[in-house]
Amino acid sequence: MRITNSGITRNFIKNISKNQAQVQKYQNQLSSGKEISKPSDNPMLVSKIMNLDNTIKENEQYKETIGAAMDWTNTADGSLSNATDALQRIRELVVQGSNGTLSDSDRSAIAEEVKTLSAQLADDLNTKFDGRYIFGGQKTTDAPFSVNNGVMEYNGDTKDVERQIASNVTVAIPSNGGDITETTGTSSMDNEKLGALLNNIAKALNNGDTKALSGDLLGDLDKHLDNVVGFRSKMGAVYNRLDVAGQRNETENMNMTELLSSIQDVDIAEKTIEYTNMSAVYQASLSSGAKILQTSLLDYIR
Amino acid sequence: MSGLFSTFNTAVKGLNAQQTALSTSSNNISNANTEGYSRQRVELKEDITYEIAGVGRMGTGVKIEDVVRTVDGLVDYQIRNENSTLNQYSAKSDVMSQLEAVFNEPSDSGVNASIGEMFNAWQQLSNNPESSGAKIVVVEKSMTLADNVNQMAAQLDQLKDDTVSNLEKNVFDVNSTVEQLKTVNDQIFNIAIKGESPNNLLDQRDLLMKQLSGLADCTGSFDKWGRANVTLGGKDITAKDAAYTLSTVSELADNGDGTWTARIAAGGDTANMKEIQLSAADAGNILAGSPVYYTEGSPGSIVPADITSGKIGGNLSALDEIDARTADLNSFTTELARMANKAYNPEGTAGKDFFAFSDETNQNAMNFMVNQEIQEDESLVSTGAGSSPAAGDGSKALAIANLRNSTDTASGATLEGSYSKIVTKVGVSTEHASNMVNTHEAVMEQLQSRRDSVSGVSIDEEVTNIIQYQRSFEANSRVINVLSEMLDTLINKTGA
Repeated sequence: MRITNSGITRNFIKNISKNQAQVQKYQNQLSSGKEISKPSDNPMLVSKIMNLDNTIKENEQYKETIGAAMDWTNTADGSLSNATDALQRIRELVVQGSNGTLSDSDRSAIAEEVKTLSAQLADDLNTKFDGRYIFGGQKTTDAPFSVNNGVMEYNGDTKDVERQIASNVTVAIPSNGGDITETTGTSSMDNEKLGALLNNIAKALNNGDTKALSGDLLGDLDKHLDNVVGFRSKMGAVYNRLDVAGQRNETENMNMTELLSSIQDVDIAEKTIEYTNMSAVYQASLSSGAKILQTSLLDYIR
Repeated sequence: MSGLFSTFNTAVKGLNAQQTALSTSSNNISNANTEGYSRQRVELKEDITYEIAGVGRMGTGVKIEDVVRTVDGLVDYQIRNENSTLNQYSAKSDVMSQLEAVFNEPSDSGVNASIGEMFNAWQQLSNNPESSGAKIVVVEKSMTLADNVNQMAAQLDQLKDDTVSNLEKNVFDVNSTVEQLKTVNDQIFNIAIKGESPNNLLDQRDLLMKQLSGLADCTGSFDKWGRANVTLGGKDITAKDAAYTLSTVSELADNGDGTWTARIAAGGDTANMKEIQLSAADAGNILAGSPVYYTEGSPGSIVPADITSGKIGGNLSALDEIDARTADLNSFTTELARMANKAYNPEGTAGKDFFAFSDETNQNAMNFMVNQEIQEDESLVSTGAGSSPAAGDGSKALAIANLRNSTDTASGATLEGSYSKIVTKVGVSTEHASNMVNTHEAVMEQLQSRRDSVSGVSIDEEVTNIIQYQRSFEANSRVINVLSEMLDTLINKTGA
């Protein structure tokens, strides 16, 4: 095969630009830290990266939701604890008031305290989290409990607030205040409502009806106490569920971030070696080309 | 018996032959870097001989038979074919890498990220349905998505226009190359008919045909004079006084009455636009950018030119790709709007959708937007189900956020999935085109080396030849010198 000058030149230019392109590719990968910068680098991986990007984004949103919901349930638990304390105190007062040896004035003093506690209970249950009432069902912008003529009433709706904590997983945070202040199996229909019961207790105290106080009213109050404690443990269960979901979310996030990194991030050590190799090749082709292109037969005759 | 004087002639012939050979070598050297130049060689032959009785046949020196160019017609033919394919893929690869840049993935600011952020915003709103801040974020993120999609559609449109202009320019180049080829053909004929070899013109002819093959797939043949006949897109393009010219369809518009108007850049020249009315069936055979043979007249007529390779073929195939991805983007957008609106406005109350199109009869990615009313007043964003939902009801916002995982689309993939499918398609086509460029570059390289090997100039070789010719010239001069001395002896020193 005849070798010609134009052939050598063309080959040289082609190889130089090939090497240069390769050096530039490695340089680009090193400086961006990414293995892949455009779809054609690896179309299948790019679609995977895009998918992972969005799943991670979605997961981070769930993480935020879970965090906020946990704060919400914590706040709810705090106010339920206060409510339980108030009811315990009322129970003590009822037991105290059912003692026949008390004078009427003592009992009316106790009745006053019950009324105050009942108002305090309403305040406790009107707790806000992040500017929203947490026991008003989905009517989060209006105070759910009000006291009219000494009777505490519920004005919220019966729907729980729902939060999505993972793809296709929603959790209902108990927020129907009606569930806290209503129970069944009481001595009368009236007493099914905590507000009415407390009012009846105050009345019985004022009237000195010790029989009712130590009997039906105390029993009904216990039922309500059980109900509130039951509600609180439901809240605790939701908290636990959120906690577990949060941990799983974190693990998932870590796995996916790791996967994404293994797909798209450059292995610096490996890439640096490849880059060094390539630039050595590039320099070798430059220097050999510079030597060969200069010489011809003319250098050696005469 | 040969005379001394006739031997003078033999030596002079030798001098002339060496000078001619030297001049050819010199021409080779000066054209060593000329594109398309084929090395030339002087063909020497022994001149006629004559009979000397009792001695035998005596030679009368050297004769210059011809100056020939060394070419391998097969390699040139292969180069032309390969050049068509190589240029096809490199033109396509150029456009595809621009298309890829339009999609700009993977990135933190592309459409994919915008979709994810929009769904996150809806999710956040479902957690805080009372918050006007969350509503503002939803509207902002949705508008960002719409802006991204609009911009992408506009860029696709621009890329399409650019590619059509490329095609116009390619066709213009074809025509000007063909004009040059026709002129060269005439010149070749004028010289060849005198029995001479038009070496430089043949080189020019081959170079022009190579250029032509880079623009479109064409087949060429040569007549006995060496003139080229080229068939391109189904017609003889080198024919004398042809009524048709290769042209480009610049625009194709539906008249709405079953006929179409095509605006033709005659000869690929955008300053020479012609309008033609077409039936729907004829219009179905062409697209904006299609190469056609245009015949002047009132009205003029067109015949589609079937070109699949060369730059024109590559740009046409890129154009198909752009159209297909634009259609994909449009259906992605309408699907996104349809699903979001179904969740947001299940009753389908007019004007209460979340997403809208500024032209509802022609919904596409270009005019996709967030409902103007909502853009102006974010508080209009409704979050709960039913006509008068509670303030804390975020079920509607959640339903929209959950669309991210819904496969209730026309394609059966999620919205994010169908978008990433578009990007994958772009990636695969771009990768394919660029791989094909690499492959065909290697083949082309091989063929170019073969051509260089046959037709290229080697300086070392020429220098060696020059020394050889020089020595030969010296030897011939020497013969003349000797003859002169012999004559001197004969004339001046004998018979005194």
